[in-house]
Amino acid sequence: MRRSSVAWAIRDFSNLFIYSKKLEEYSTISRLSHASILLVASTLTRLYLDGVASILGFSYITIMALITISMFKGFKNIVRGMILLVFFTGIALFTYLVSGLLGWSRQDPVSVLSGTMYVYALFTSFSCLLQLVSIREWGGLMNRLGFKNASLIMGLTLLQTPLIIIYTSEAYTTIKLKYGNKRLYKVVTPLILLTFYTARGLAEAYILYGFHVGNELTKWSSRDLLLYLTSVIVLTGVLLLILIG
Amino acid sequence: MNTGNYTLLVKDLYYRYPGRGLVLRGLNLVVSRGEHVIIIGDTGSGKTTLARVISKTADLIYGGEVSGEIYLSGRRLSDIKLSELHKYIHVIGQNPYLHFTAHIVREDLYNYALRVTGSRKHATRAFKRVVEALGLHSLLDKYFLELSGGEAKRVAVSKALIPDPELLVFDEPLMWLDDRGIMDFQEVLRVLRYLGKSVIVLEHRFIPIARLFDRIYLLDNGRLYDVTDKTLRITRQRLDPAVIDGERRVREIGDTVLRALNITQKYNGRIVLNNVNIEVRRGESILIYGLNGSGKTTLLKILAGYLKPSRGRVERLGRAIYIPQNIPLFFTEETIGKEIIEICRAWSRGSQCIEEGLRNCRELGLFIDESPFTLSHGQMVKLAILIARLSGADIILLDEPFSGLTYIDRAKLIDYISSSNSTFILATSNLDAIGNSMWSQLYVLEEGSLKPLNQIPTSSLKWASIIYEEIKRGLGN
Repeated sequence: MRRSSVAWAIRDFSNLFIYSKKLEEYSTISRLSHASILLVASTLTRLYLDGVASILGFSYITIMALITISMFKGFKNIVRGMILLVFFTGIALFTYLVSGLLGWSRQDPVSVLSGTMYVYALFTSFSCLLQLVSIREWGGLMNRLGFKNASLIMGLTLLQTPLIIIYTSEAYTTIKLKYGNKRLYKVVTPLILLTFYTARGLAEAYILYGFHVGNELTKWSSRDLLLYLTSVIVLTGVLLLILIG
Repeated sequence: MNTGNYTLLVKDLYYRYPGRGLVLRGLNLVVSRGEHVIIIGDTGSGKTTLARVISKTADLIYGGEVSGEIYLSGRRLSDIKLSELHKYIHVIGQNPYLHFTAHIVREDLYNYALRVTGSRKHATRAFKRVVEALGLHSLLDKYFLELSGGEAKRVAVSKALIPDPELLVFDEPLMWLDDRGIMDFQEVLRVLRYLGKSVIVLEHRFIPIARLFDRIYLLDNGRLYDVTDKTLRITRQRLDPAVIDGERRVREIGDTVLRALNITQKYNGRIVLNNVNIEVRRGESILIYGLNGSGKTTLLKILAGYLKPSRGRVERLGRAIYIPQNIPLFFTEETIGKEIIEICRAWSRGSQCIEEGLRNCRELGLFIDESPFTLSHGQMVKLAILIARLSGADIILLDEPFSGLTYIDRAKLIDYISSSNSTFILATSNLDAIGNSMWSQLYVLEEGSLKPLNQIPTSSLKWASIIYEEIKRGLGN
């Protein structure tokens, strides 16, 4: 990856923490259940499949999650957002494989690849939860479950996470040019401070505006059928793999 | 005095943050219904603190001691419940992006309307009212992170208008705004005047908007002084630009240190920079003017060697360092002294570099044990330039260094840059930084193209700082 691309990859990564503008086309329940099924499928694959079958299972879940997210946010956005994750898992995968070939690691390549694909499947499924369910809906859900304070904290955190990721990109550029390649870990200091300032600013916004938690979660939309069908395909595919594998 | 006749009445207000000295010292202020007031003052003079005190956040978030009387539309502030405060006052803070409580503008405004009104019918009505008043239709379906500073500010104003408060307080509204954004804000003020709202603006860059206010106050040493007549009189005077800018400083110009040839940059399928050419020689100071989103930051990063252009090439015969607009991101150490030591070590510049750095800090009035993060914005920029010079960088790239600075601090920063022999490339979105004779090359970045700026505006930064000095003269005696 070109060094200049790292900062943009970080910036694009923030996209994965912002919910879609098209949420209203589907009901809350269908979106939430689809994201949950992706997570359940990842867990089932982890528990009941191993070897090449697990790689197939995780790849299948990742692809289905990416298809779902691209339905809501467009394919380009998702690909760009995933670059950072691919970059880091790629480095990890390469390191493991090389160390295995040199005899420093006892992990076999298949289990290393399976672990990598598990990260993708888990991340994309989790990302679905953030991109397919709005902050207000999360607040409403948690409120119904009786976690009123937690819903507030979670809402405010999710709200500002993309902004902090964008700051990270800017800090990365600045520190790299200031110190060269040697001291990139120093990015952490200004980021902690900016996060603190942002949190204080948010507290002021909370006093001024409060935080709206929606209790009205939508239960049905005609387009839900498509999402439920996709959920069934995900679950059936994974169950078939478990039965065969 | 009948407190009910006024939107805001402040009597003998004192305030101190926990463990610190008094910031406000017996401040008095009266704002009548529909009146527009601007409060000017130095950085750290207490403008933001005043906004925090009259909106209760000073008490609730920062703690500290408040004494004195504050009435909002006849009601004592301490008697107003937090849940009903928005009907009386709304503060639009410096960072408009922190006003959002949802990612999408439409949702953010509607949710707030729903929260304030309690019913869908009334929420829809309030939502429509503010969207119409401030012409937000094109912004409604955007993520708040996609908005420019000016657009975010406009949305923040609309949000503040939803509960129909009597008083709106703007804390440094021009910060982060380019010249077009400033015109937008002038329009917002006109709309608020039409709606009959009382307005307090806390701003040190007052010249572009001063004439739109009924009263102008200067906040100095914790007290307010009415400087309306004086300010309007002085700003009407025309000063000789030659006297203002002074003599052109002769800089030693050396060999070419950077050459950018046919730079084109695309992002998300959009052309950000189109065939940009620039040549920089050692010792030059170059200014690039462009509105927000014109590609200034991208160009600086390409020139610094951080971004690789889609097309074209940059020949760099030296190392560049980049100082961002969000200046705290530049610092990494807990004290100024450690910053100096770290930068000298990182570039193996030896103990002489450390000694020079510490000596320069003293000359700039900076204490080595102080945290760089607690400095004022102007001091931060100066320290960042010092660090960049100590690193041995051949080119220093400054991205919007003036935002948040008073006229005097801006002029001082220009003098500091001017007195240095380093090579500078500075990007700004405000023309008032330009009318100065120190720049060896002036450019405007427009629709991706970089063109020489031939018409230098007559109103200069130095002129603005002279006006501000004049307004301050003789007060408090």
